[in-house]
Amino acid sequence: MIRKIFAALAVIIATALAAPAQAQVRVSVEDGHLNPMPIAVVDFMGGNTAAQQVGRDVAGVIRANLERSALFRPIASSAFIERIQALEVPPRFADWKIIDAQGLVVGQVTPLPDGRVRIDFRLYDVFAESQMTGFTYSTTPDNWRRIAHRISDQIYEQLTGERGYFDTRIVFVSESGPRTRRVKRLMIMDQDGANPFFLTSADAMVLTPRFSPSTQMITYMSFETGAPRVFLYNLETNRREVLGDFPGMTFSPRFAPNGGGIVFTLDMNGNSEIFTMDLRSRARQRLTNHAAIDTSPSYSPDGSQIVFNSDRGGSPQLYVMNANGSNQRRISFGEGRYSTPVWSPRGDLIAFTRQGGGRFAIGVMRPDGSGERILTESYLDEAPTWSPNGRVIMFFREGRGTGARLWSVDLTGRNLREIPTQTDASDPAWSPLLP
Amino acid sequence: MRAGLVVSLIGHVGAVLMTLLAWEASSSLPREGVAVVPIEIVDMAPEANVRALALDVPDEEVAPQDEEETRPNEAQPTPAPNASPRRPQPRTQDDEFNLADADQFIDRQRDAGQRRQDGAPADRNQRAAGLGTAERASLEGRIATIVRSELQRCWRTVADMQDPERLRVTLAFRLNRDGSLNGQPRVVSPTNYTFDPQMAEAVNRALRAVRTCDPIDRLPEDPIVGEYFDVWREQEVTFGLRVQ
Repeated sequence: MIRKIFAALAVIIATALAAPAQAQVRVSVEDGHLNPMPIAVVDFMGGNTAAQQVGRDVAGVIRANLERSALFRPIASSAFIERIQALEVPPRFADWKIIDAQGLVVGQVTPLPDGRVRIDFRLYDVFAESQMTGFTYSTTPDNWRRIAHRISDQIYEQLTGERGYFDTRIVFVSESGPRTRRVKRLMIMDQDGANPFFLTSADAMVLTPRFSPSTQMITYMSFETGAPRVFLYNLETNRREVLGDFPGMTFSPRFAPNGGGIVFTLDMNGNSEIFTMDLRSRARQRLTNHAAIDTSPSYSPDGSQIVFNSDRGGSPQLYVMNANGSNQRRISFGEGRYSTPVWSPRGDLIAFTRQGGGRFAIGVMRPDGSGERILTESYLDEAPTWSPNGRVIMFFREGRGTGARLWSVDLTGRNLREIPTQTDASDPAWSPLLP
Repeated sequence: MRAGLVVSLIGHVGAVLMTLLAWEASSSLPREGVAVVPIEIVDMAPEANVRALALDVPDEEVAPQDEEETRPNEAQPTPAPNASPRRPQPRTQDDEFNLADADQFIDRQRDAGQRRQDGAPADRNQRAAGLGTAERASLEGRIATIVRSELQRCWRTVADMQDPERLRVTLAFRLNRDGSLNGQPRVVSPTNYTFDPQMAEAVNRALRAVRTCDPIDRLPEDPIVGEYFDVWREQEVTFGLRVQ
C-alpha cells in the first residue's frame, strides 16, 4: 500500500516536473501602432453599363470616405490579384492576404424593373477568412451617394467598433463678397463636401448654425427680422420660425440632446444670461444670474450638465453647471481666453477655442477640466463641432488676409484636412447620422 | 508396473512442485515490481525519457502528427499562409538587448547538457526537458521579446479608444513548429464582453494582431530559442496599455 502511495507521489512529481515543458510563455504587448488598416474595396459589379458606372462610383466614394478617416488605407485596384466574378462565391482569401488587405469589400449593383437599383455589399475579414457583414439597399439611381455613405458607415462600424459618421451633413455659413459687404448665407452639404445647397437667401446675415443631435432640425441666429434672433429650421418640412419674442438679442443657441429644447443666450441691457426653452410648451427657464457675460452653452450628451463660457473670473473661461443652473464651477485654468465649448457626443471631452499669444487653438479637455490637449493652432482656428461618433472635430480656419475655410482634425490631433467648399465657409455644425 | 507407478508418482510430484514454484513466483511479482510506475511516466510525459532514443531522428520525422491535423482550414484548397511574402520586420532594440548575454548563457547550458549526456548531442525537440529554472527563464525572456516585437507590429493599439486603460485583452494560442498558428486564438479574458462594444473592439484588435502576424517565423528561425519548440509552442499574450 505504501509503495503504491509512493508510486502515485512519484507520478505527481514527475508530472509537475514535466509540465513546464508545455507551459505557456506569458507576453505583454503594450506598444501598438495607429497605422491605417489596409483595406481592399473592389469596384462593385453591375449588370449593365449604367449599373457598372454606379458600382464604380459607389466604390470610389467608399474608398474616399475610408481614406479620409485616416483609419483605413484603401489598396490600389491595380494590386488586386483575384477578380471578383460573383457575390455568392467566397473570395480567395490567400490572394488578398498576399496584398496585405485586412478587410475586403465587394458589391454589386442590380437594376430593378421599377427603375430603382439594388446595391448589395459584403465585408470580409481576410485574415479570419470570414464574412463580417452584408447588406442590401434599394434606392433610386441618383441616390447612390447616400448608399455609398451608409456602406462606409457599416464598414467603419465593423472594423473600428464605433459608429460611423459618413452618412451625415454639415451646415455652415457660406461667406462671399467683399469684406465691407460680406454676404453670409446658411449652406448645407454632405460631410465630404458633395451636394451643397443654400438654405437661406443673401438678404440677411446668419451666424452660429447648430444641428439638433437627434433630429433634422437646425437652430441659428439671423438678422432677418432686423435684430438678431434665434431661428429654428426643420429640414424635413423646410419650415422656419423665430424662437420666441424676447426683449433683447438672442444668440448662441444649441439643442438639448433629445432635440426637445434649446439652450441659448439672451442679452438684456448688456448683460448676457443663459436660458433654456422647451420647444413644445415654449416655457423658458433662466439658468445663470451674474453681472458678467455668460454665453455659449452646450449640453452634455446625457442632458444632465451644461458647459458654458463666462468672464466672471476676469477673462473668458469655461464653466460647468447642472442642467437646472445649480453647482456652477470653473473648469479651465490654463493661460489664454477660452470660448465656444462643445460637449463631445461621447461625453468624455469638451472641445473649445483657446486664444492666446495672438493665435487661436482648438483643444479638448475632460469635463472636470483635466487632461487639456491642444489639437490644432493657427492664426485663427475657431468654432469646433463634433462628428456624431465623437472622433473627429470640424472647425474653421482663417489666415491673415485669407478667407475662412472648413477643416477637420481627429481626436488625437492628427489627420488635419481641409473640407472642400465652393465659397469661404465658417461656423460648421455636424449633423447626427441621417435616418 | 511398479517401476512405472514410481516414475509416474515422481513425475506428478515434480509437476505439482513446478506449478507451486511458478505460482509463488507469479504471486510475488506485483509486490516486488513497481513496474506500473515507468509505464505511467511514459504515458504522461512521453518526451521526458526519450532523449537518447531520438538522437539521430531528423526534425521533420519527429514532428507530431496531431499538430498538422489540428491546423484550421487544412482541407481548404487555399495556398498556405506562409506562401505570402513576408513584410520587412524591423528588429527593435529590445531584440538585441540581451542577445550576447543570452548567447553565452545558453552556450554554457548547452555545454553542461552535452557533458551530462556523455558527449551525445541533446535532441533538438526535447531540450526544454533538461532546462533548469534560470535557463528556462532566460529562454522565456527571449521568446517573450520576440513575440512582443512581432505582435506590437501587428497590434492596433487601443490608445485612441475611450477609457483605454481598462481595455486589456488576454489571448492564448498554440503555435506549430514553423511558427504558424495552430488552431484559433482563444480569449482568456475578458470572459464576457458581449454588451461592451469598446471591449469587443479591443478583443477584435487583439485577435486581428495574432492573425495578421501569423506565422511568427522569427521563433523557429531564432538561433537561440528556435530549437526550443516545447518552450514557445504555447503562448499567452496580454494586449493593453501600460498601467501607470
